[in-house]
Amino acid sequence: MKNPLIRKLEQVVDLTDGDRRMLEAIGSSGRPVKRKQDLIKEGDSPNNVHLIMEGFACRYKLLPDGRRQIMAYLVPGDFCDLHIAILGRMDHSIATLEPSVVAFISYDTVMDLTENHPRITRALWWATLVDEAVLREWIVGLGARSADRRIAHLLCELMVRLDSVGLVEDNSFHLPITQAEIGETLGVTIVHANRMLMKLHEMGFITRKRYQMTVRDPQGMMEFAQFKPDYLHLHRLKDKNRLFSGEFAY
Amino acid sequence: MKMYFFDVSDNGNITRDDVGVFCVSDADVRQKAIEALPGLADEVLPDGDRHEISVIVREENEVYIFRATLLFTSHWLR
Repeated sequence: MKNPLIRKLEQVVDLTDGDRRMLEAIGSSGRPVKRKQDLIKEGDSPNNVHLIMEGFACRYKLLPDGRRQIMAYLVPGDFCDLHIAILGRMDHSIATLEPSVVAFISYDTVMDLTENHPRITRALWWATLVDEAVLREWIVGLGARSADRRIAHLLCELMVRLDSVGLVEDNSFHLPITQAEIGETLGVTIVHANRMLMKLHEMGFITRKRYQMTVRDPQGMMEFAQFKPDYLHLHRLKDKNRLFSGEFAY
Repeated sequence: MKMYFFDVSDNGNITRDDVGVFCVSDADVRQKAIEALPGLADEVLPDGDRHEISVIVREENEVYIFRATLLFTSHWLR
């Protein structure tokens, strides 16, 4: 499969052969990481930047009473904190949710990337801004959306993000997230998350077989979730008329 | 660890849980049923002056083993 980072960045910028070679080299250094392994823990001094090549990871924070809040999902092509080396210690943890392939990139490489590859740099700024936009959207959801819409919105978002790196086929994608993890993401209990998933199923929006999620009515679910993909900014940089043309009609 | 099913009764309308949740003990079953109630209430209220929501827990053999109920009532005092 095509390097997901290249695929992700090529949506927004035109890369040169040199840029592509650089990104290929970074991607080829990926190594397998088991399921539910911390890539980095809160309090650690970050040495490497992590890039998800295959699999699924999440950012999370543990509270003293053992409860966990998930603040982001990281899918293939996503960097976990590009400039984290500037900070002294991690303020949160990052863990894999399934067996994954992760590239560990030294900060020197990141500096080389950003100093000698202006197109990549611009695309990485974009990626960082999109990460923040996703976080804003999640805050809106937690504060103002009902639980059923919150779940539908998250599924719409993941479908579009996974589609943008070629991981959606016939409206179906691998989603290795348990009901407990959905609960920890959206601030609902496991029983409630379960009930909301059943509701989306009954409404004819989704079918779920273990970790395979199929969206049967993308348009219907997007309307129900009040999902507008604008905040994912999937269009060419500086060319607002040329919209991202994925599998779905957004 | 066993699988339990958390059916929800919303003013008597029962939605069956077809998916189920793994629980490690009776205490875990009780905790999960009770902690679900405020969120479920948040979903349906405000809705009139009386609402009763229950989580009823079923084992895989279809036997019900636990019920937690939240009763909402409201009325004017003047």
